[in-house]
Amino acid sequence: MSVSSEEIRRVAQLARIHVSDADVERFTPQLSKIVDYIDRLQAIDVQGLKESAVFSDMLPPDRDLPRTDESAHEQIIQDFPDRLGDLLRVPSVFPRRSITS
Amino acid sequence: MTLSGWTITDLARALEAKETSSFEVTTSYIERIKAENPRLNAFITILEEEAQAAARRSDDRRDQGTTSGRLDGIPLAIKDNLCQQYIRTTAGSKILSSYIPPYTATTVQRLQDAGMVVLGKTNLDEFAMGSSGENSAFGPTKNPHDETRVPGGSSAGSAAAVAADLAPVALGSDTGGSVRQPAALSGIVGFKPTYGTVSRYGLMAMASSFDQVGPMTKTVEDAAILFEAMAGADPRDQTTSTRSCSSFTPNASLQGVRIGLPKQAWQIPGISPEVRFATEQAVEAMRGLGADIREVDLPYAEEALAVYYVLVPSEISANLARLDGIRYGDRKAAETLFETYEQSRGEGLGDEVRRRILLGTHTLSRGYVDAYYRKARRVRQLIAASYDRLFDEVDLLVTPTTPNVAWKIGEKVNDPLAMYLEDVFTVGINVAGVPAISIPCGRDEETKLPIGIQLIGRRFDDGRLLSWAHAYERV
Repeated sequence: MSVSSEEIRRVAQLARIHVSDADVERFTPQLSKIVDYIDRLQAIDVQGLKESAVFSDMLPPDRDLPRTDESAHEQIIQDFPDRLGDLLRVPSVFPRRSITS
Repeated sequence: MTLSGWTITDLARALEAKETSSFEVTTSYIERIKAENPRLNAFITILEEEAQAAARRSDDRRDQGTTSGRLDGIPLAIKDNLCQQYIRTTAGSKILSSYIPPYTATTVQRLQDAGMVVLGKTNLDEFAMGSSGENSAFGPTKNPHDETRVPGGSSAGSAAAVAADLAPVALGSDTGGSVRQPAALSGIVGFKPTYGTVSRYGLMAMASSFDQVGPMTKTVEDAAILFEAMAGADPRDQTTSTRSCSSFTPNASLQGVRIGLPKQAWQIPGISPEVRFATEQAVEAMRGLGADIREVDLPYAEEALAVYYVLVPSEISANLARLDGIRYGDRKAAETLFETYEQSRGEGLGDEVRRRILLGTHTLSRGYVDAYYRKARRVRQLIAASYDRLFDEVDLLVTPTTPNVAWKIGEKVNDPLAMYLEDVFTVGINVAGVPAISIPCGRDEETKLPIGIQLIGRRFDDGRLLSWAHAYERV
């Protein structure tokens, strides 16, 4: 089952990734080839099998965590891409509306 | 001081005997990096001042008789997807080109606590996605054996650094072969430990249920030394295991060790004649050491690659969602929030990363998640079980590490599937979570390019795997 260029555009939107027309043209045949390859999984009988990963004897979720180095806070603020002093600036969630009326 | 093939063991002895100092050793490696890096592009960041300061502190400890052990004062290189506090860590990506982490990876911290000196951060395929070292926003790394060829990937810079003696040892990370494959293509040792033995805290996540940090060294013994210093449960990574591993013994023998050659691996038509010749010779050498060699059946060997290319992109699409230009990394401000995300990710992430995020978003999307993601998780169970069963019959599995020697830069960039197929022998190991090591086993007669052989062990039997690898390496 290959993927169409429409599907590539749709997943790009879901993944919040800008793709140009040239990207779509390049990615569609590449990803189709990979999807054709992974389709061989469909032939395997997995009835009765659980979904699993490879974890074993993991640590308990309620374990004590070491405290984070306090000086790290300053670096976290420094890493913020857009700041006004210690204020962290983010784009508005809702489109700006004119208030002239 | 001339650096040639120095190992941890050599350096520890020389430091102990006060034949040299950590400062002198560190400075010579830094000089060599500065001279060779323009040619090889193995390092993204060279930490000259920090390394010299750490080396001086180590020398002071030695003078005062408070040395932290045999690793104290020994330099190493770190793959640039392992965080080090207040040191730029890029993951080879444009979006993190000026990112400075507020914390240090547990693996790096444990080695620094043992006194090791970080020389610099090595180049890699962006977010560790690639098999050639070509997908870096900082340009491709070159193979020290032939600069027109790739060193393998994604731990490209770490492999090239150790192979060219720009560092005695290095750390890499391995999600589907990213330590072992570049080790094979660059002629060094690369070890991927059992999943859960080494902390992933501070390793920028690619696929969380596959990633492990591993040593890249000149000898198996050095790999064992680094592994021992890094391994063990870490409260900051819940997937680290409380189970203990078998331990490394330098005098082990291969006498009577049962070695299985999975026919699904050895019979694939894609193995080049030079790789086949060198790896078959290596198997004969193991037989000569008394190993009991037999052919074994490893079902689902080919399906493992398909499972890998469903689950890994799925985990990537989830893990890399955090790179949205909001909290850290480059932000491309646009009119709306949605466009800010789209532009920041579209411009900040390279082709291979975007391709895998798109693939993973597809395999997780409504209508496909059952057929791909959930199905692959079940097949993963079958694959892990088939390895478990095999290890009732044999102690080790042996395969070539890669089907081919290092290829020309640019040769496979437009065919991602061809590049993925280069990982056919290595990805199954991460799917099953078992440990594996690649060791040099010869060179191609014509091109003189290195060839690696892969030894695969039981889960949590890392020590014995290393011991047997060491027994082979000694001949």
